[in-house]
Amino acid sequence: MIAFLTEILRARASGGGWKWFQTASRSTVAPVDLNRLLGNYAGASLRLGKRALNLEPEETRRWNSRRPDLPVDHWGLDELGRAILLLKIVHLPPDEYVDTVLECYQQGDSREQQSWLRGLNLLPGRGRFLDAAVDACRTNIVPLLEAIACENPYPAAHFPELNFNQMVLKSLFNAIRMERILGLESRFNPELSRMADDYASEREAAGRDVPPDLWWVVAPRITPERIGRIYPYLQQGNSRHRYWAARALGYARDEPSRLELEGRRTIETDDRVLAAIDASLAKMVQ
Amino acid sequence: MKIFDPHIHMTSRTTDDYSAMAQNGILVIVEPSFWLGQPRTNVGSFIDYFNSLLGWERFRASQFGIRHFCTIGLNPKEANNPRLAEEVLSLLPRYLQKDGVVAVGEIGYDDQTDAEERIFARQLELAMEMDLPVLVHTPHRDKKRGTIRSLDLIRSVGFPEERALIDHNTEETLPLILDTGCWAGHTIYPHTKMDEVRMVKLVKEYGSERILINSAADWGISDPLKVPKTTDLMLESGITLQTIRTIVWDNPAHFFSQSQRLDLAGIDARPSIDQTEFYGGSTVLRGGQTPVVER
Ligand SMILES: [Zn+2]
Repeated sequence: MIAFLTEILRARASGGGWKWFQTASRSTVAPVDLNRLLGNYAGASLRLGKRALNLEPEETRRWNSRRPDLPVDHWGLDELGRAILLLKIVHLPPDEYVDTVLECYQQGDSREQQSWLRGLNLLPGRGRFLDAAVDACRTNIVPLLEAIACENPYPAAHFPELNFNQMVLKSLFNAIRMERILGLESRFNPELSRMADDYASEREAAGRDVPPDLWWVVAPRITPERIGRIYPYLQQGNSRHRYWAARALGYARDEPSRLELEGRRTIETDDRVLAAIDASLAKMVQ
Repeated sequence: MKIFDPHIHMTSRTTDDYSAMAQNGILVIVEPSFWLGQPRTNVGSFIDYFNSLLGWERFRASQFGIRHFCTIGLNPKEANNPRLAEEVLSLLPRYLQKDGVVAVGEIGYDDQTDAEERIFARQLELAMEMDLPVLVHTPHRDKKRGTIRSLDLIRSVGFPEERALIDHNTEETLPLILDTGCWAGHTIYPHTKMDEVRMVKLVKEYGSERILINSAADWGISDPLKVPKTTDLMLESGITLQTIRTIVWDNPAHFFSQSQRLDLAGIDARPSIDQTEFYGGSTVLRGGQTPVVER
């Protein structure tokens, strides 16, 4: 793993950047001087730059054969460098390893913390860093929230239900698209459905718009008597509302929901919405 | 109209804000301690923060003729850091005895975790011991459930309801609060929580009993003049002066006077300004500015 990641880094780093990284790597050899390591962890953005990795097709193929669950295209080169540095200190005694990795998070600026939250997915025994990952969701810095909530398999794999649900709600609050939360479907649960449903009611009571993709979170576990509250969104002017309402109703099994979809189908003009209606109707027949 | 803003985070505001607030009739403010947008990593940061609320910030306010009180407590977000939470809790008994501390707050729920509940309950008990009211923050996410849980907890620890101010209410939570003996705060924000127009509707529906409004102005998008702006809109909308006065003055004054540390007669008059004063060697003036002195 380290060898392949280092190859990706080397192919993209400038001459000076690569030289810096080789020197920085020496700070990971025992005995590890924490201050030097923290300095290198911080310096990665300055020395390697923040350009996105955007893997070549061949690299993507090789990466997917190792970690198909973990997208890295959007990682910056600095973030990859930081992840490798943390992988290189796994030789430390377990407690010291955990403390050292946590220091990198706690003393990090926003970019270092983002890198850390992404790189976490590569570390052995990553469940030990759950508290810090959950704590990161308490931030008001949206890019930091995105680093853990979006394009990141960690929450779905490790978060307890309460924390996962809070992260999803916070993402809805911050207008983050639900499709960016990896493994969301695998973590749908009745409490999350109820929370998102309540959030929709709160927005409605305040006369405010509801995030269109919220119904995708609500519908799979909604109680049958509440499914009808989605119907008006199938008739909204904004096609994103109609699209997500149509997709959400695909989780329903009742006759009124089928009739709603059929009815909209006869007047719908947007191709994307039509496709969603058809997919949902097909799902209902099964 | 005399205005009392019962919840405003002045630490994040400028002196321009203070002078605009004074010009718009704000005479008294309560600044609750809360989180700073960024998690603190050690207890010393709390000591310095509490001290600045009690010291420099009160002094800054006084330079504009505004009386500044504060609430001290451990906010729910940082209650989730177990080591830090214990250390901060151990500071509270001493800070709660200081001058100008009129409640324990902001306390409550954020993510609604077990840790938050534990720290919330302990601070309710501490408030009872110290004979102080509490200012309760309600969560942004899963608000209705969080509000119900807050009311349940207040009841289950036996905290006197008339000494609890439950904040950041919406159309959905206000009636829940009014069903109890607690007071209901409303944060008027530019984009979230509650706005002026919605607030006018709520006052028309529910009146003024135990209802408060505040600006909460902090480091986020917010407006320290939201209370006077809402007051203006209430007037234009035909709400009586008496009702408005109850909401923006009498209610906050009565609520916080339960601390016995806010003298109702004393807060009525604007304190005189003397900008020649210094606080720990610092002044709000910069070189060349002429101090305002009223005697
Ligand atoms: Zn606040």
